[in-house]
Amino acid sequence: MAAIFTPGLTVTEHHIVQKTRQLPLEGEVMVSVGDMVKSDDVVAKTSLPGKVFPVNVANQLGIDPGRLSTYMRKKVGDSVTKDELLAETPGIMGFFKSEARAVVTGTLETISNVTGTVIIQADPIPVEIDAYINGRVVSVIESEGCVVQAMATMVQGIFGLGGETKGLIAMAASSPDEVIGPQHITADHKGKVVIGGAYVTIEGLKKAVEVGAAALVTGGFDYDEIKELLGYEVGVAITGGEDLGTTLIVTEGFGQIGMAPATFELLQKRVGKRASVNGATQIRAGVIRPEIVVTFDDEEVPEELVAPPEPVGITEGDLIRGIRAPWFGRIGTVSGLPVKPIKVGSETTVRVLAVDFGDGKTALLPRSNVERIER
Amino acid sequence: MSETAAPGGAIRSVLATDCGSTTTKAILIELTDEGWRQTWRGEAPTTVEAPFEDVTRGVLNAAMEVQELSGRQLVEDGGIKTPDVGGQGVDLYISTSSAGGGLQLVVGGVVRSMTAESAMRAALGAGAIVMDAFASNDKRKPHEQIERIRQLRPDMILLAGGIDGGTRKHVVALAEMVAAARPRTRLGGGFNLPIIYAGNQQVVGDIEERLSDISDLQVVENVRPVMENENLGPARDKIHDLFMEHVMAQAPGYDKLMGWVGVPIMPTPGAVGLIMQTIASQKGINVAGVDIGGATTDVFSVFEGKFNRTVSANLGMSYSVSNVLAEAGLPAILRWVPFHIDEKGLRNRIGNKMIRPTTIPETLEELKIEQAIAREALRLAFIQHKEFAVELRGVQQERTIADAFRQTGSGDTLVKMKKLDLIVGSGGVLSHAPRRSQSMKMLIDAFEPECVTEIAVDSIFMMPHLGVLSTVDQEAATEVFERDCIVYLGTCVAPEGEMKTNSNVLTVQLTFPDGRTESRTMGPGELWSLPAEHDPGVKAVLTPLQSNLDVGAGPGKPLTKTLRGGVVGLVFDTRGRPIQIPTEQSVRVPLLEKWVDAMDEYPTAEGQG
Amino acid sequence: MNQPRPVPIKLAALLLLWVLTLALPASAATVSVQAPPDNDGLNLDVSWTESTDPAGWGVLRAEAGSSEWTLLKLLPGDAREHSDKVTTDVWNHPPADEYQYKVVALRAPVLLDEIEESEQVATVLAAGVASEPGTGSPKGSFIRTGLKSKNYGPLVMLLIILAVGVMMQKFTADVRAGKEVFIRRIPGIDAIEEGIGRATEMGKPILYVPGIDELQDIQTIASMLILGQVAEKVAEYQSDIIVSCCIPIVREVADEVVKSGFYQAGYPDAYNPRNTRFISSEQFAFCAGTNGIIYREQPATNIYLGRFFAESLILAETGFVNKSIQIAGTAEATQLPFFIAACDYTLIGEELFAVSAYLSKDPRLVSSLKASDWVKLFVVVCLIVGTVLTSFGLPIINNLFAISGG
Repeated sequence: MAAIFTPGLTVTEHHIVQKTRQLPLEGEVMVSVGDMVKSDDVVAKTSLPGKVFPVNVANQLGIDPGRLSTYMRKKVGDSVTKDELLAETPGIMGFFKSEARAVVTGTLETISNVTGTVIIQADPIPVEIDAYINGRVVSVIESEGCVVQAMATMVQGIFGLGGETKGLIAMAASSPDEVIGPQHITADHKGKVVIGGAYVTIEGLKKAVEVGAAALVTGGFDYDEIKELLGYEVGVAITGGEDLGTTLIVTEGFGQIGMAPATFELLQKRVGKRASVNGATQIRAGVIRPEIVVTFDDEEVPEELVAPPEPVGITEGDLIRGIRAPWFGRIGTVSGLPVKPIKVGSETTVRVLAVDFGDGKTALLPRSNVERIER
Repeated sequence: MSETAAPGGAIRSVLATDCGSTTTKAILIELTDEGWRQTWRGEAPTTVEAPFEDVTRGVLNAAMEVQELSGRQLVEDGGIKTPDVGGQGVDLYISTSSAGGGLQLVVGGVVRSMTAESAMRAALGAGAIVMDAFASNDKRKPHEQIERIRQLRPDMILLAGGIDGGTRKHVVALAEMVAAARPRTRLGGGFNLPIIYAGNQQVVGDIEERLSDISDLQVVENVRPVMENENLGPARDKIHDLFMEHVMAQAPGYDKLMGWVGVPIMPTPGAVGLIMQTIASQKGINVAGVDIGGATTDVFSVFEGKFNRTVSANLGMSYSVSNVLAEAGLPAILRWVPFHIDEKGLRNRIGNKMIRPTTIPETLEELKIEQAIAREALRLAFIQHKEFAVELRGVQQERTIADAFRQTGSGDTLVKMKKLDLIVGSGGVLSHAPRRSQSMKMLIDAFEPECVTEIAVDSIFMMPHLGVLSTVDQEAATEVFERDCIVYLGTCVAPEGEMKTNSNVLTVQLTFPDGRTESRTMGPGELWSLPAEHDPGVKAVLTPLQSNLDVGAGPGKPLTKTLRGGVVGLVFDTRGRPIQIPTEQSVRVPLLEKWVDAMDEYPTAEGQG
Repeated sequence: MNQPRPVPIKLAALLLLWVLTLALPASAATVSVQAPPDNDGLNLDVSWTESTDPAGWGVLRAEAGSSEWTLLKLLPGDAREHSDKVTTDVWNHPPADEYQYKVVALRAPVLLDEIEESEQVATVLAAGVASEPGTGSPKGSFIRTGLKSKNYGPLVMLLIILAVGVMMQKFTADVRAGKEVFIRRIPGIDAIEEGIGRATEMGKPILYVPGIDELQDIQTIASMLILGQVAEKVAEYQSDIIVSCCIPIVREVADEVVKSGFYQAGYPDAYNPRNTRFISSEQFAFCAGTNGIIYREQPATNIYLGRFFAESLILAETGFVNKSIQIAGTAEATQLPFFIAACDYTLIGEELFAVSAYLSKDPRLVSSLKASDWVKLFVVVCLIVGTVLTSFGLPIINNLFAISGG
């Protein structure tokens, strides 16, 4: 079985981050190539078409749909205000008139002489896209958006809930193995990106939402609690649209599992800096992982660190983590890469690697059940 | 049809590829001394996405692998070498594709259970994923429908509605609704969204007036020209055409790939459907097939010549595994797990499988859990299929006075388990199960076949390739299907009918080809498995011992039949339909263990390394 | 009927009679009149005493205060009592409040065959000595206590009614508490929605005929209940429904029912009053008119639910020729075969009354359906057991249900 997908997550101090900022439909781009933008700057805007309200005017008037246009007081394209007269019948000598009024303020889209329906489109909803990160505009996508690039510390999580947010990094845990409860979250965390440890209890997360933390980063979380938190189960890992108040980023997986020390140290190093966080996760085609991006802005970045990290396979001596039972969450060092496939406990024949988990014992793990931890 | 050969005469060799979303699989099919055989195969990662953005690179890599193994030159000048000259190159190159999430459609019709369903059948039959189906009676207000269409961003829209000369009002309203939504394609780009109109032919003018400006409107024959009949062919073909012209044309490298192939590229599930239909019609049997993937599960069936396909979009073994848990519920999964497990822990394990979809079960316990989930995913997908594969509704019935007390309703499912002859399973969890008996038991548990049913798996997911091949050469396709594609696991015998639990159920008398005989009387709740060859099979006399139980000859009547074995053999199942599993754990676990032992499903505790 | 009787005249007449009897030779008999126990309020028992037997007795009756005597019966001389049913035709001759009887002790047997009816009373009076009149009022009893005559019927009925009441209460509570009540699948009812769908696809209306009987007929009432639900579904599909009525008042009710159905579905604007039509009160004129609708407007689906007579087959055949899906239902046993032969689905007899409960799942309707099913089961069992027992000369079950005095 060939390993076709390596969920290696980026955890890098110096990383050239490119973010494509794109409108949901065509609009106006406010920046040009070379511009320096701040994360809150608007880079593109447009108007989303408003909601559409069909009204059967012919039936309201009690007339044949074919004759609707005769009685219409408004034409296609006219703007109407709520309760404005749309159409009326002449009645008999001014009596017994029937009339139809607009149900919403907007523009008259269509008048159908088959169904007798008039469609009113509510006023457009303005949509703006910000830069998300501080950086330089490196390219512009005509009428749709732009690409912003910056040197930043980049930490990808494995699973997230909630969308884009920004805030200063604050530590709630003192070690990557600490469990975060409500007592760790204080009012000071309002608007901050709070870094936790191995696990956050549901009470702890609720407290973070209560104090208004921008985001909470944790090693593990209970899959069970998602349902309690959202009111529904996340059956398919496509997230980002949840209305949680606080974006949640899980760096390691479900259950109680220590945050990778490298991740923890890296975030600790950047305390007090402004981070852009996005919980959006998509594990199907076109993988999207939740992320924490901390740009360097004016800070000097040593030249030799700018080189993009090269993707490398797992080699002997690498630090890996087990990502499936019975080794789930355990961190060890690769001590050998046997070539021959081996039959494991489930009788599946797979290629394995030997891992030293530090207690003197070496175990053979299927290669697809480990992930490399960047140092 | 079988003579549309490549220039220069009859075909002698075929290279077929299937460009999946992660892997491109290539197989070489050759005319050998013993007929058509699949001889070599190779695979390579699909290269649709960055950094390659050219599907042909993956195709060439996979072809190269076949070339190295077979010694036959397949790649020449950065393309596939055709035709076959002296054993070098191939006569025909064909391909299927499901890269980029497959073909996603939105359909619309007037009445949900009538034209909307016909439109859905056409779309699914063409191999598409139906994102949503709109109808006048889907209980959504028009503005909700419009919002939804805007969100969806399909590859194309298929509109049906009304029989020819039928309703105008509803169809026009549907078109107006679509027009108001101003839908845009999923992949963006500067072209209009293709909309196929396959409804009432008398209102084509009204439809054109409303939709031709905002979309690339294509009008084909009505999918439901009269209430009594469906005409899905034209709509299905149009979907295939547009799939090539619009959807594929935008995907990187496909323009080049289209130049290489001898017949049009088909969506993978569409091709699987074709081979199923070919097999069913050639052998004159009823077939059900399932392909369980990471994200979705496809179910196909051909009953009395009627083909149906459903896609359970969120039932799968990796990306969608948590959704199986959400839909089936934990107790439904746990009832198949033959040991005690902590529930919270299990939920976290399933969650972790969702976020790390490529991991494989290392321990036996993990494998058992995974296979328990697979049973539920298969079961739910099959239920959805049975609900969809129904007789046409809205058809006039003719009755005589004799029907007074047995008026049957319309819209009954076409999937009649008693009449099912063959179940074919494919997809990782079935094709790659460590033991074949596990695949067989998963299929029996999930599909609950009744009477006598053969069970098989697709060895290396070759069905899509053979589907396209069947459009060129049916004989070659079926020959390869029988010899190299399908692995017969055996036959399952299960009496149908309500079972009394206090008396014996079935007597089985077997005569093996070597003259050996065996007989056994089975009580309720038993599973008995024994090895048997596929050819020539085992002569069996099956006698139900309760008057309302049926093994295929009618309630209480004995059946004499040749049962075909396979890699696993014969399985006699008296666990009842539906299978009765006690909820009490102390009773359930020993019973499950008994059934596991009966089929030698898992290694025993001592055998575990 | 209920004319007030002028009391002075009544008194005067009695006085006159009394004077007359005084003038006659002393009567031999004293008449007493009593309502018998356990009767339906139409019977009076007349008895009299006399030491010696005359040649015969003539029994006469008049309403209290009237002198219009009627000869009831000639009896042999040893008779001392007579049981009288004051009327047999209660609709045209309801019983009076009070009756008077007298007996005539005949000196010699009287033969009345040759005598005209109007002169019979006079003849009898002339042939003997009449007694003083005795008076009595007929009185019915609600529950029969006359165990000697084995009249358990009313009591059994009361028990059944109470049992149904209790069952309904229990089932209603069950349904409200969320308990599933199994209702057998009736394909004909499921086909209604299918029929509406078909009509929608075909762009044709649905025709609904609620039978040809008056509104108060139970089948028409059932049909109106179903019409409400059908109209709601039709509105949901934004299709049209034509209701063809034979009785003006039924049309008015049907119109209201359809309108509220459209309102309930949230499409008040789609309701069209012109589609609820009164055709004719004449059975075959109505039938012809409805056939006309089927021919001209070619409904895709015809629904016939209610009380039908000879027009059933004519309607159903026309609909069949028109290739409509047809759903019929009637409790009129004679029409069922025609519907079954010509329609796609037929609701047989009582199924018609179950539709409403089936469609609405209203706890009250569902529970009454279930309760009446139990009663039916009970009746069926009684019929079978009763038939068998009676065949062996043991009319125990018969007696349980006997109503009139044995």
